Amino acid sequence: MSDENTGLALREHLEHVLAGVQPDPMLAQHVRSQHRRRVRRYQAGIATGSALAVAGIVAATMWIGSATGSGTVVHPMPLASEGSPTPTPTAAPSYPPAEPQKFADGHYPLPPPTGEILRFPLRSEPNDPPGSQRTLMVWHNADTNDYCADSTVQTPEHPTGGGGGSAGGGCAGTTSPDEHLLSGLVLASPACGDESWSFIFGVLGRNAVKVTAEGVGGPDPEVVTRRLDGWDMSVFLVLDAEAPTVVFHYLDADGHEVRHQTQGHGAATGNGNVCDGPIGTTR
Amino acid sequence: MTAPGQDFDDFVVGRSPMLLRTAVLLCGGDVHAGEDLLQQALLKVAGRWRAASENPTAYTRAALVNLARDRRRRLSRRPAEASWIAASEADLVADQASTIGDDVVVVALRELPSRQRTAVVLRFWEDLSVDETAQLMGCSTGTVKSNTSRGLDRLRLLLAGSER
Repeated sequence: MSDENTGLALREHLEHVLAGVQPDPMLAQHVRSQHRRRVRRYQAGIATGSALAVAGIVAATMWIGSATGSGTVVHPMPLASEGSPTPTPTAAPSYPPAEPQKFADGHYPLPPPTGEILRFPLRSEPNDPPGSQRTLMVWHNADTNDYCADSTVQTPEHPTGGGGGSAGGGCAGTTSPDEHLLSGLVLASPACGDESWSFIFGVLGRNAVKVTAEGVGGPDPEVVTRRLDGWDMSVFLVLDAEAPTVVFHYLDADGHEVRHQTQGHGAATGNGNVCDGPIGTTR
Repeated sequence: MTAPGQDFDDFVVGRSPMLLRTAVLLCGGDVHAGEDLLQQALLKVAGRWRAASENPTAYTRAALVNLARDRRRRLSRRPAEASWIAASEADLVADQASTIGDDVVVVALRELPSRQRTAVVLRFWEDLSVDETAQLMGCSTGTVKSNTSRGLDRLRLLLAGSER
């Protein structure tokens, strides 16, 4: 069979096989909302940059003014040795973060509605700096009644986290509260590892039975799921995949197992500080 | 950056089924990866809609090819890990996630080296000419021809093996 005939037969077969593959009917809206978020971030970046530039110009002007006014260079901040009051140190967050307290039944608590941030230590990644601590932060946003999450990497040199790239920021996502299930996906990339890695955090209610993942482990066998070491089922799920579908199984009020599927579209991109996809969309 | 308008929506609604299938094939039959790839490509198109609106299909197709190449590079750098899902459960999940992944032709297509797969998909699925394919892949027409020919030879071999 010639190449052309093979190609035609191939196309005919693939048309039949792919006939059922249909895009999300809301795809255009998803892309537009992503685009809007990207524009807002871009504009916010310009605003921040402008403010920093103005602050820099003001500081430089004051410096030059003080230097030229007195004929000698004056430090804008008095030195401690000259008897100036010692600045009050700001309280640094504990490092490593404290182990979160479990409920008696072995489950980790969900964030309270006060906005308090719960911090959960995560397992380090292969490329993390020695002595670093990866932390997942989860909180409740009372304004939107969403659960939000973000990640950070703390090191002895940078105990407040951050330290470049997406470590401090990652990207936050929200979840949709449910009577029995709090599900959601957050995509974030660790700053110190491969920028293409994506973490997906699923925040589950206490009736969760198990968690599975779809769309991973197939044609790319190295893209697989895993659980955090030593963590009880049904608290958080961390995946290294770009756009997996996560399936939560949980018990309804009658004790029946219910399957709930949620998908994170749009992997973290670039240096990981972008999370463009509609997060936690359910279907 | 200007916001894309109704014409962008019309384009997505009209063309995304075909583009999604191309994306799925470029991802070796992974529907979820294909969906993700298409969304990323459309986001790029939305960001440059003023320029892309002249020929948005070609623009999106080029973005798909580039993003698929980037994806393969990223995946090749990712260290292997073991799954915590039991094998039988993972199989069940995979079955639910995608039915096209079991098709012998899709499996054979997935086995092709990436450039051969891209060439075959663009030439015979997208029905592009050798010149257009070469432009998209950023290579010479001779390279497209050799990749296409080798890809088809390999496909025949793989499919003959699967029939036995």
